Amino acid sequence: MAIMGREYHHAHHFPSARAEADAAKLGMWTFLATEVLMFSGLFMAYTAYRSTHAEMFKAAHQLLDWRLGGLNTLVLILSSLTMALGVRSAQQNKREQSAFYLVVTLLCAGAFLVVKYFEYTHKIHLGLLPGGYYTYNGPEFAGIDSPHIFFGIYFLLTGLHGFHVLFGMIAITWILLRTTRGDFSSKYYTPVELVGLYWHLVDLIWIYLFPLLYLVG
Amino acid sequence: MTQANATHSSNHGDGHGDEPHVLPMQVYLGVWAALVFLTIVTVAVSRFDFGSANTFVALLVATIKGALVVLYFMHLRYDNKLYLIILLASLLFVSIFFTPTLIDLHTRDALDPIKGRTMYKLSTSKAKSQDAAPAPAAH
Repeated sequence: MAIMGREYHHAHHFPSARAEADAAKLGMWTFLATEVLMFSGLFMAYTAYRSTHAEMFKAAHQLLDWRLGGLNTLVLILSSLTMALGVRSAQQNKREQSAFYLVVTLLCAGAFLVVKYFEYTHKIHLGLLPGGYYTYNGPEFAGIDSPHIFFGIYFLLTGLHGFHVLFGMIAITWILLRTTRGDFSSKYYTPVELVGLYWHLVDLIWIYLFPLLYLVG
Repeated sequence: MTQANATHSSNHGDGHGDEPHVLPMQVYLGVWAALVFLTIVTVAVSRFDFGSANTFVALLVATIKGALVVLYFMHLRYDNKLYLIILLASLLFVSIFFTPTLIDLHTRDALDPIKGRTMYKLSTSKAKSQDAAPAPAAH
């Protein structure tokens, strides 16, 4: 304990540190459930429009670069691994190792947003924008009905997901600072674990977004 | 009796006892390798034409990947099953959201063939109005 700095004491209204950790995790999973429900609204919009405009989705998705989407999938999967290893190191009292894994996770998250930036600027340049901002008039969409709807859904889904990545980076930075300060040990690493759960959910949502947006069959 | 049961159940069940439940490194690396492999599978199956099952196959691969993330990275395989129930409950409510919405959407023209169709066939008017050339009666 001495190496890890301060000793952690659970709040007095909990019977034990474990009860406190369980309560915190229960709250986090409940929050993650609301996240699933929030995203489901956009997934519903996707499903509804794809079921009525199948040909349009097929034509419109070809303007997305599946290689960039695939690259971002691999980047997020790697970041999920390093996040899980960061939690594992915290469980084992390995503070420096945990900080290292958290830094790698942050770098992956940053790389994801950089790739996303290039994708967005390309689409903004072409005018492949949601709703009334849509100006693209390329030959791909000859006889295709309402391709602007696909890009509306694309920007809302990836945009909401992108904000989650951004917020995840803030949360991981907070955890990283607290790790280097010596707040966590094998006795108390709940915040690391909870931020990990959040980060894996962000990865999980992208796992569905990749085939649904970039690889429409 | 109750006391004995209480202490017993607090030591077992959900891996988060007094000592953290640490998974071996190989589990994490193995799951990661499986996720990378399944990402390649995701791209590969999209090149294949399974006909109307295309979306189903894509979602199946994504769900296998998702299950790996949830069970191992998020520890649900070893953790308190209450968390798994919360996650599954959210998916149950998503299905309650999706099912009636889709049934409604695709049975509207059975009630009113003309109005039902215009409700979701957005028509080309919106897209056409974005174009510079005003061609009102193109289609």
